[in-house]
Amino acid sequence: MRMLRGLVIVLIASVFWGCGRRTARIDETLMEQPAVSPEPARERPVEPAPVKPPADRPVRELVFENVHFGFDRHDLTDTAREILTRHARTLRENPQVRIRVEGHCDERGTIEYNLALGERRANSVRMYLINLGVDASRITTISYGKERPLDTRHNEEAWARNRRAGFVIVK
Amino acid sequence: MGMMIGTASLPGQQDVYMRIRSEGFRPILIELKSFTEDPATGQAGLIRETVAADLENSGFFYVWEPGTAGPAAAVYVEAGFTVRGTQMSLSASLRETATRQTVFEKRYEGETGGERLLAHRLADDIVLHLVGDYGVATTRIAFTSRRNVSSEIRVMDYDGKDIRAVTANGSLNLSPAWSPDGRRLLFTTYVHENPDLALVELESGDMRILNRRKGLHSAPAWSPDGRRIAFAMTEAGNTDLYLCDPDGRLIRRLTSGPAIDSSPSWSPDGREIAFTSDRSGSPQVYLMSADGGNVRRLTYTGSYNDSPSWSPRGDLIAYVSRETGGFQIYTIDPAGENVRRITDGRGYHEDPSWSPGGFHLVYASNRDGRWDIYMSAWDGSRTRRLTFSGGNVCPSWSPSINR
Repeated sequence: MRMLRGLVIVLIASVFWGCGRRTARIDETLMEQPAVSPEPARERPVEPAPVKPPADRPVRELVFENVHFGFDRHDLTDTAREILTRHARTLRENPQVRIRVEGHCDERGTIEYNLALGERRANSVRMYLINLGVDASRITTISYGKERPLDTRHNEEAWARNRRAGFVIVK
Repeated sequence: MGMMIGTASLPGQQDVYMRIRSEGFRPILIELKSFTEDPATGQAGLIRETVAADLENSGFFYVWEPGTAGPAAAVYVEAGFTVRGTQMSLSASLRETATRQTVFEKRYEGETGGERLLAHRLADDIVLHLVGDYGVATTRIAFTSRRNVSSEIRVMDYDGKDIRAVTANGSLNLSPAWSPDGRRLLFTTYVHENPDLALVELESGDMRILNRRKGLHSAPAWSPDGRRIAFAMTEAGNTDLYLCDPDGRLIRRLTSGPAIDSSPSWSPDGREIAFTSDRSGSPQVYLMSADGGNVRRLTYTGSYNDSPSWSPRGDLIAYVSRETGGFQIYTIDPAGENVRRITDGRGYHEDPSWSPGGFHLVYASNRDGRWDIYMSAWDGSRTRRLTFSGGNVCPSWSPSINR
């Protein structure tokens, strides 16, 4: 169940691309038809026509599970490394996908220190993915410090969930 | 009490400060004798009430009421409030009870709706004339108000009243810091999907981004002379301190190395900067010269010390220390001595910021369940809750403002 709760990103390419939405979905048919998207991702038109995946076609979801950290830590646990190894494979298999790694912290400590800590966490993840062969230009980072908790309770379980790096497909 | 009035005729600031912090300090007794109004708008009562609260909040006064046991008031205030159209006027005089001598007389003008500001201005003049120090009644506090997914910058009067919106962009806006002239605020904004430094002119509301670079820009702190801004910036995941000018041009890098360095706070003479670093393995407070040299560790007690705020008097640095069950505000002197806990151990406390005179601290706390802004005297006494809506953090006390 913990793993399931960590499944954050379900993205389908749609009108939300590049708009920084936390969830969007990737439509495989769009991804594999250069005629629809002939340019590199960042040069896509600003306002692509809204494209809804046809209901009768299977939609493939790219899933990037969150990774978690210890209190005031940014080093990767064995579990985090396993998860990131899977993410690296997914990214290698989908070379058109670009991601943003979002670093988060639990509520303890000050806003400013946690912003720096979240950045450090996001960078740990980014460097690990790069070391596993993902092109550096495909991964950006951002820190939200403790400003975006997944779990707003004030206990160890909530803190453990909130000390995380999440993934957003930005394509 | 007569002696107090004697010493109160504009002594040096340091004298007042030392005296008020001595154990034997007794507040000055003041009577708000008559507050008349023409026509009867009912606002004279609000003005009197506001002046009384300001004087007591200052820590220098007790407001004496007729019939109070013990010594009579040493000084008294008489005021008349008139309204003509939208123009209001408050004429006030302060006199010594024993001699009936006038300490000062002054007329305050304003537009209707600004009654409380007139009262604040009168209260600050009373403090200035009797204590020789600039009061805080006309000062303001900037803070961040968390609402659902957004966090917006707000500014309120020092007493928690008259809350105004500075941002309304629906994004994250954090860590407001005042310019020394009290007219501008710097803060971190995510409005362009990157934590940037924003500068807003309070009067016009004009906002611009100082940096044109991806990555974290946070914890801005304006130098006392207004020419430099210390802030934290991230490169390859590592946060260090830098200086830029108010146009965003980089002046120099202050720290380097793999540690997190953040939360800079200037000494009042602008020569030194207190900051947080985890270079020892956990966050601790350090001091350095404003050019980045002469770094030395300040805090040694406690495993997690953060968020330093240097008193405008220069003699104390407030910071946050992690303890079992929460985070507490402490003060320490710049030599690393005289560690003193300011908050009482209930809940979390964050982001201390000093009043311009260094007599009060404002901070955020969840001690009553939700995050709100509190103020207390420099020694932790006289704690008052200023906001009640929850979700209020990052308080920053303005400098003295001529309002």
